[in-house]
Amino acid sequence: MNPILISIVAGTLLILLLVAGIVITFFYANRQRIQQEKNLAEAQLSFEKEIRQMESEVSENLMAQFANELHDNVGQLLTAMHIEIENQKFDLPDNGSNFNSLESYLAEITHQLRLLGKSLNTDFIGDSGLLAAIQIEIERLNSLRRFAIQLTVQGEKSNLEKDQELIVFRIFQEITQNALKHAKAKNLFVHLNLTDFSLEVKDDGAGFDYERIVTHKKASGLRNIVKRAKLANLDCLITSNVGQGTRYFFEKPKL
Amino acid sequence: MHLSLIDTFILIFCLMVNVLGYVYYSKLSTFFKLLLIQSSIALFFILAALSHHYYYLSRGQKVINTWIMNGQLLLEMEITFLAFWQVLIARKIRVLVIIANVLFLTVYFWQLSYQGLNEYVNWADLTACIFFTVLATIAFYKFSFESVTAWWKSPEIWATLGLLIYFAGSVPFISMNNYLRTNYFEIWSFVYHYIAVTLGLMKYAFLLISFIILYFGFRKQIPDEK
Repeated sequence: MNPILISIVAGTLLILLLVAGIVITFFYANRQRIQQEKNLAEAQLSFEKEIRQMESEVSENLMAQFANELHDNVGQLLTAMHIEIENQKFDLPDNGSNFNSLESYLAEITHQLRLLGKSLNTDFIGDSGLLAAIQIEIERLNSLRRFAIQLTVQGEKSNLEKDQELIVFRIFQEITQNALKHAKAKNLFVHLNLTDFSLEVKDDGAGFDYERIVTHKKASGLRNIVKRAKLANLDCLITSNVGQGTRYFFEKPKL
Repeated sequence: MHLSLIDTFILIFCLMVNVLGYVYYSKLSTFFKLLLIQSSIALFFILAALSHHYYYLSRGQKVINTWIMNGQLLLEMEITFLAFWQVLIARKIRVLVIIANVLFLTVYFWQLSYQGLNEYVNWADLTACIFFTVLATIAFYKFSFESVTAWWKSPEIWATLGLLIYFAGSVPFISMNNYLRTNYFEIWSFVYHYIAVTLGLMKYAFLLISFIILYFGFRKQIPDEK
């Protein structure tokens, strides 16, 4: 074969081999880079989850302390007041009726405090279950007479873990706090499906521009709701429009 | 000049690239629009050269259509330079593109001036091939780094790979083109029909793959009208 032909063919093949080598190196380097980015993203996600869990534990501990203080200190003081009123009624039987309104206020404060203590006490929520906790919280909120909450329940026992139930309850508290502070709602509708878990809370309040508010620095309540839902491994959907109320929906992710 | 099987496939691929490309022309990026125009020019010149060849052959006259290939080279290379200018936005690389273009034009007109139109401007082609190999490598690296999809789903990677293989593989043959044609015509004929044309086939095959990916991608975006 002509040496010129051989050299041209060899030269072409060599160059193509070099190109193939460059291409393979690029692909390999790119695959490594993608894997590294994926590992970094996973590590970041895991770190954020741990931070959220720690924040949740700290806040639960604080609430448990607060609940104990309410019971030990304030509760005791209210009991002492009740005893003192009884003594006064005994000492001054003619003026007994003057203490009636005081007694009814005291009874109301004691009842509200007991409900608040239960809603803050993690152990109580863990032992009674999500449904009981939500029912007590609704009773407490209805007694404030700011709005009316209606609860409908499907199923008897939830299939969530205790940790998840606690987080869902805190989310529910956050939602009701938002409704109290911002929504100016007259009615709240709560639907709880315990069998195939889902929680829906709708209000007939003022509503808001969700996309605009969630990026606002002061929307920490909304962001907390979303973060807590992620921590409990639940899908979260918040829809709201101005003048059309707000809807919160949580459910287990569909596999 | 006759149409071999490989030549026929190049024509078919070039035609398909044009058909697929012009369906969603407005949605293409500037880079792909320029590659499409370049393949349209290639198609036009292939058909022009063939027509010219058969016209003179039928009259029993000697066929000299190298001037058509020289014209094709200038147009295609300028459009390819523009295409690389579009995607390589780093300042230093754009300076390289300008230098490459200036050098190519200098060599082109210099060789044309002393050889005439009927001799192929292979040194200009070689200059362009060397620079395009470098630019295509840089573009390939950029696209493979930026791509969010798998590499076989990225039209940019397929297009630049085709250009890289074509220009890099053409360097040995183009450097010897005129010498072989004058002194070893049989070797030139063999090399042209088996190496150069095969590289051209690969270039248009990869370009066709990239336009197929683009075509089906655009089709998915358009909502069905029922």
